[in-house]
Amino acid sequence: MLEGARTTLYRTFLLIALPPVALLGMAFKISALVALAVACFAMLVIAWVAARRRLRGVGVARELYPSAFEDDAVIVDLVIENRSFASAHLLEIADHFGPGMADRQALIEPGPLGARRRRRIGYQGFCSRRWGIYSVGPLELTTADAMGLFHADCALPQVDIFSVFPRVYEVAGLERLGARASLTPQETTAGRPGQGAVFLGARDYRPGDDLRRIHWPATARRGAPVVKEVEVDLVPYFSLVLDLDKAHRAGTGRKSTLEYVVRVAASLLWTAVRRGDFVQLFAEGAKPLFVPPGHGEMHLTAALHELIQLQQDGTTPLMEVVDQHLAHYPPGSTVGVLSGTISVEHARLLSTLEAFRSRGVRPLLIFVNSYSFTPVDKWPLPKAEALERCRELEYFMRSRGVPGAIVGADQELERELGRPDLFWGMP
Amino acid sequence: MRRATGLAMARALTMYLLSVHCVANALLATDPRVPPLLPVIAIALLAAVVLGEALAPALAQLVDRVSRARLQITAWVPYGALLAISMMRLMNGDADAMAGLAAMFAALQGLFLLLAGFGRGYIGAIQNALVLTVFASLPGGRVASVGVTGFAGLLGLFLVFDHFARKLAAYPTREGPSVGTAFAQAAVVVLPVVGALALTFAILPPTGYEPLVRSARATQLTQEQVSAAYRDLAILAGAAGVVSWIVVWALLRGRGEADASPAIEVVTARRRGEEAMGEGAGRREPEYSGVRGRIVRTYLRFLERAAKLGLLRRPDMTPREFSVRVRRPEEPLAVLTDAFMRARWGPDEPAEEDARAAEGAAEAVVGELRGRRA
Repeated sequence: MLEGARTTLYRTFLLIALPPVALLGMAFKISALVALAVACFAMLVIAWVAARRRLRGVGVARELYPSAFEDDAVIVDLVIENRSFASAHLLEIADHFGPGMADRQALIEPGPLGARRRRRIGYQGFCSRRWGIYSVGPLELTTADAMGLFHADCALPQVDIFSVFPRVYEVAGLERLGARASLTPQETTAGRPGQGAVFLGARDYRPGDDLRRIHWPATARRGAPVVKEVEVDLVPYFSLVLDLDKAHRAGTGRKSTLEYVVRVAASLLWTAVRRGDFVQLFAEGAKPLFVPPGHGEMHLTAALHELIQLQQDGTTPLMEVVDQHLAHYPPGSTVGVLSGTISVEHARLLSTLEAFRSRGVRPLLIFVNSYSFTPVDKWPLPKAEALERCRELEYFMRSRGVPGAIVGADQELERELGRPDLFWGMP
Repeated sequence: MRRATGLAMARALTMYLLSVHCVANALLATDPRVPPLLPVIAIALLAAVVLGEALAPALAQLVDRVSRARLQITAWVPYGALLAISMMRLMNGDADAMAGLAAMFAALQGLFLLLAGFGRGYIGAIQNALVLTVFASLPGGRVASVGVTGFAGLLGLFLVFDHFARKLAAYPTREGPSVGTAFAQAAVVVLPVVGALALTFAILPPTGYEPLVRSARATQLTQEQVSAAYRDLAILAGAAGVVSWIVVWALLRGRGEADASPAIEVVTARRRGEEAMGEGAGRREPEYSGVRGRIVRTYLRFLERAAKLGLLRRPDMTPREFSVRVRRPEEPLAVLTDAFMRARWGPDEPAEEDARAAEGAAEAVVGELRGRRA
């Protein structure tokens, strides 16, 4: 396969052996030997010319859906076009699928691929590496003459960007927060007059009311026009605010605060979108991040794409970020606040919770215990003290009936997020 | 049956025919007592090929790569010495010694076939076949012409089958070119060479090594004896070929598919149907005449050269999009793209200067691309 099976041994042998054969023939006047050397050399020349012509008019292009989750299998399509007037055989293609472990993926189009024809072939890659942005490509096309003596290759600089999203888990407790589901999975209603489908009651007709809403039986009984009132439509709304303060960095690789923040955030967004919420995302790293409200799979993909590019390189405290965007949280919606530490000022947190309450916003607080990870740039906090802070925070949230949770390095996210009793103080 | 298995069988058969051909011709050229022994030689070589195929997997696993390389080098030393001795004897024109040496190299051919799995494929057997062909060419005449022509033809055929078989065996694919397709590919390369050789020998019969011819004149085979020997040999080789085909098929059919190395993952290609390329497939390309055609052809040639240098234009790309992708040098690129778009879709016939400017711009862009690649 490509380099491995590329045996130019026979070519080397012929190139080394033919001159002595020709010399022997000429020295001893053995014409058959001279003819043999010339014939073999002619074959080498024909092979060299053929190899150079083989790739003429042959091209490959990749077609790939640009994102997947960790551990997903991805089908990469390759379109091979033969624009020449001869059929092509044994086209070896090497591609680099960045999210996979192997350096290269090698495959063969054995042919024959007819003249002026195209064929679509594909291979399966696995997203074995952790979440992030990877490249796919470049492509390399290799072929040889019929005898395999000379090779021709062509590097095609088609490099695609591929996003690997963190593996997401259904957050079991989230479904009990936010707006209550109605008949349709994406809409809920609120008990005030609007344009929904749920009957609220009847009242006297006022000028401007839609005539189609007149309740005719009641009008007949009362002798004056009466109209039906229905509840207003309320879209379930989930806002997520992330902590990217670099002061809260701890751990490395898969056991780091960034990893846990991103994975928990991805799972929250996934769960919210799955149940039909509008979701929006805020964070303040070195660059501010704002994913505007939206719903559906495409919006989730866009949000996850932003999420995997995040770094814990901000300087703005989380509560400040939450307050900055207060106007963006609609009444009746849920705001998830995902902190990278358990060291929070209770007074500051309290004032934010008051602000939420005054706007009719339901808070959901999730804290990543940065002290449970290996410290990177600070001394570790004694275990007893870290435990005490966790208890204080838990007491604070429980006493105020604020749903919340603390996750640490010793907890498996898949199991923790799936627990129905993850959040304290659930309604 | 996997295509690779069929091609491997064809490869083994070709190697057998090449070996029989070279051994028989070398012995016929040097030893007049050989014709009665030809059946034995053909059967011995058949056994060597079949056993070699059977032992190949076990031999490949016998020692590690480095030890195997050391053993190969050690083996080449006595072989080289034997070649040097042969050369010295040849210079003396000693016909008896030549017969003995040819017999020795004939025996070595069997050994090389037997140990094919231990070394680097059939390279040893091919090298020895070349030496045997040199022996066959020494007396000149019909044996030399048949020996040399047959060696060139069978070597070409073997190389094609070997290449196809190796490539298909390296990938987990059951599809691919058949033995017939590989044979047709081989014919394109081999037939002109073999035809030219045969024609040359028909016009100018090969001359032998004079001292050797003189010393062996009394013991040389007659033309009739040589013809009879070839006839017998063809029948024997045909029969043995059928046997080797069946036995090698039985040996190869159970062998597994290629192993994947950790760095290069050999993946299965999911092949879908072949389709015609766009609407114009199978039809003639539109022809542009005059200056308009000159500019269009210049641009198309530029696209071909750019593709070779790694910048392939996707079918959905417009000329402008492609120029954005190429990026530099901006000015000649803009001149070329504009000229092409005016020539291809514009209402007015371009001027001669436009064509010259487009050609100059194309050269400039390709020059820049070459420089960038270097």
